[in-house]
Amino acid sequence: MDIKKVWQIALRGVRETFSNRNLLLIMIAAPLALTLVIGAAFSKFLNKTSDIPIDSISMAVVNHDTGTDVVLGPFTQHFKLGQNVVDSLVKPTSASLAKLINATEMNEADALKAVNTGKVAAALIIPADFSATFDLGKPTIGHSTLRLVRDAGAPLSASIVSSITHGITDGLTGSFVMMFAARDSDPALYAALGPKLGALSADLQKQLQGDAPIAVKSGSLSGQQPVTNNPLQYFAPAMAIFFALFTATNGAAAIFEEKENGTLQRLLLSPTSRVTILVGQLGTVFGNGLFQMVVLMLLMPLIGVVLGSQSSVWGTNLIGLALMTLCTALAATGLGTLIVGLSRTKQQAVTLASVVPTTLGVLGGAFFDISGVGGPFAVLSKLSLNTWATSGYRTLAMTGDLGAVLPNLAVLLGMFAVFFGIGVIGFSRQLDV
Amino acid sequence: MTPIVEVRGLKKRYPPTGESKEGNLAVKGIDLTLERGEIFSLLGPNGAGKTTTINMMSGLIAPTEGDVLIDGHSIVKEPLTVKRVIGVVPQEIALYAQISARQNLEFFGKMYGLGGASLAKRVDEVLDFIGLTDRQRDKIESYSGGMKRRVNIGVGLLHKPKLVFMDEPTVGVDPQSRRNILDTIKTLNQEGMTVLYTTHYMEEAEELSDRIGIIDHGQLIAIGKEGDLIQKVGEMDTILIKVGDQAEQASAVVRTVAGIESATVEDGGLVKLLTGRGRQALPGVIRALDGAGVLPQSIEVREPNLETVFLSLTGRALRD
Repeated sequence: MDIKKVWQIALRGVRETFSNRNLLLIMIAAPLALTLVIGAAFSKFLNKTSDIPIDSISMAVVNHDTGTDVVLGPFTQHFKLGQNVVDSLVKPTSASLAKLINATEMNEADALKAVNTGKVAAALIIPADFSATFDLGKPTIGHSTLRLVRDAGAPLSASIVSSITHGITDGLTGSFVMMFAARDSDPALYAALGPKLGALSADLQKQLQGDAPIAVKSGSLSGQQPVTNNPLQYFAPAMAIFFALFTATNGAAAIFEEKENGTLQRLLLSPTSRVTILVGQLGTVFGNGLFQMVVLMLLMPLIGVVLGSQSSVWGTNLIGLALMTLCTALAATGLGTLIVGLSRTKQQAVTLASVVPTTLGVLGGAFFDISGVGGPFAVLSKLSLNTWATSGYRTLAMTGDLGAVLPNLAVLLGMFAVFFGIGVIGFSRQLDV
Repeated sequence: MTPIVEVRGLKKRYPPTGESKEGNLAVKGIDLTLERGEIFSLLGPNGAGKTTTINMMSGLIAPTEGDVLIDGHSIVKEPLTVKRVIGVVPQEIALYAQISARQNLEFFGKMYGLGGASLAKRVDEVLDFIGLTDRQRDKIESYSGGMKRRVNIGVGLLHKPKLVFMDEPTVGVDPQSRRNILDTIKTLNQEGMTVLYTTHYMEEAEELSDRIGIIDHGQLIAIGKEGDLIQKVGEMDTILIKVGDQAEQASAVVRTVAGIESATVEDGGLVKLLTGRGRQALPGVIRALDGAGVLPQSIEVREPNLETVFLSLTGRALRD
């Protein structure tokens, strides 16, 4: 393969794309305009408020905790700390937590099913020995592991659930560390606690919801930033990805046009290997998608300015954004390759190049936020690369956490591998003239 | 000197379709040799297999059987080496319409391994050769059909090929552009380039070619110089004399003229004479008619041409 020629072939295609004013209108102006319209509909222009708070994140809680007896001198109290955690999530007394989380207690099988079907963003599974971990009759605090099963398709919601859970467990641990410390360093104080053991459980409950480090009372994620949703953080990537898919699929289908125009034959008549031509053609598709995404990423924040949004549209994790953009462009290229590979005629390719991105766009929430949608739609939406890419960008913008979007990146790369693997054979067949 | 092209047992069968379960055998075994520096025309009607043959010779499609050696290299085994030696001017305009002539030439030049200053110089030379230096930066889509044809040819010449395949480059062009293309081919040949030219226009083959191959139904049915081909089919010159009511009398008179093989009366007062050399026999025919008091209304000498050869070989006209 001649890399220099691959570059030349790809570059020529990208140049031609970006010298076509009509195409540019579709590639750049259309997503910007639509994002402006949709962004305005969800922002202060219509809602008289700034960024919209996130609420009602569905989660499941599974409690296997059997509880433990804490013996303090003559007093014995049966603690069910797992139930404390369940109650603090299912029946929160804090208004902000109640608004943020919609937790349901269920058995483990149902909870896992709910995660798999996208009905809940995450399931917290409390082990049987949870309370025993904090048995004050033992020399030290024990060790127990809570499992948080996350829906990879809803990384942001799962991330919020994770933060809240950590906050609760941190709060619990902190309280008991204090009690263990009191037990060991100030026996008098510890003994005085005995009569109050009965009230301790209730105090813990209050503490979990009131003073936990997660600062649920202030409705914040980490105690620093308010949990809000800038609609542009969803719709800007959603639109960019939606249109990038059109660019990629139509760009790939353009090989039929090259065939019709005879320019593909002319390439094949030159001393250039078929692999070089194939990779060069796909390079055009990838380059167009990448270039379009980058241009949109640069221009979308202007819409944020117009709409008066205070938070960044894309966030500040540049490495995460670069990786997400690269993987999205690759997945889009894979899809384009697949469409051409499956098409026998130009008409078929053109039709598929319109229908497939539209379908994936609807499934992937190009026009409405699907992060709170459950049921069969949530399952189907996971088949759309738009879902993974959009939620990845959104998570990056809101949390800046690269780790949280690793599943998204992996899925996008996986989609690229599968689409490309299936499509490339058929695509290379298009070089037979 | 070794021939520049040696075609050996070249066959092409296309994959089966609904219409042809075995697949169409478009080329049925062609053997051909091209000498360096000649213009060879492959003459045949539409669908005869000219383009399929040229596509196999240029490595665009793989032969079902046989091989082509170009400058000593096999198109089957060393396609990239062969493609450096040949230039191809396809029948259709094969250019990127959204970019300029210069950008097209530069792009395809890079595909032939040219680059930097040498590419820029060569592009300048080609633009000058095809007469489009002034319009080099205009987009192809703004060009006339003739101008596009010239760029189409220019792309095929960028890398200074030893051999150029031209597949019916004058189809659908105006007379002026056609003249321009034919003159270009002659110039290229004078500069030492070997040209394989396919056409279904007899006049072009006659004007350009050192040798001609007549192809029909995927088979090369005759190869040679124009005169040799005519001689080969044994066709005679025809003299047609229109004399009206005096046809019978005229027929009897001219039959005795030296060199006239036969004389027959045709419909419409026409006398048809067959002769080995029509132009030489003509003065004697006129003298005989004059002596008999027959006044010809018109006289036409028809010499056999490639059309006649094709008709004789296939029983069909070239343009059927």
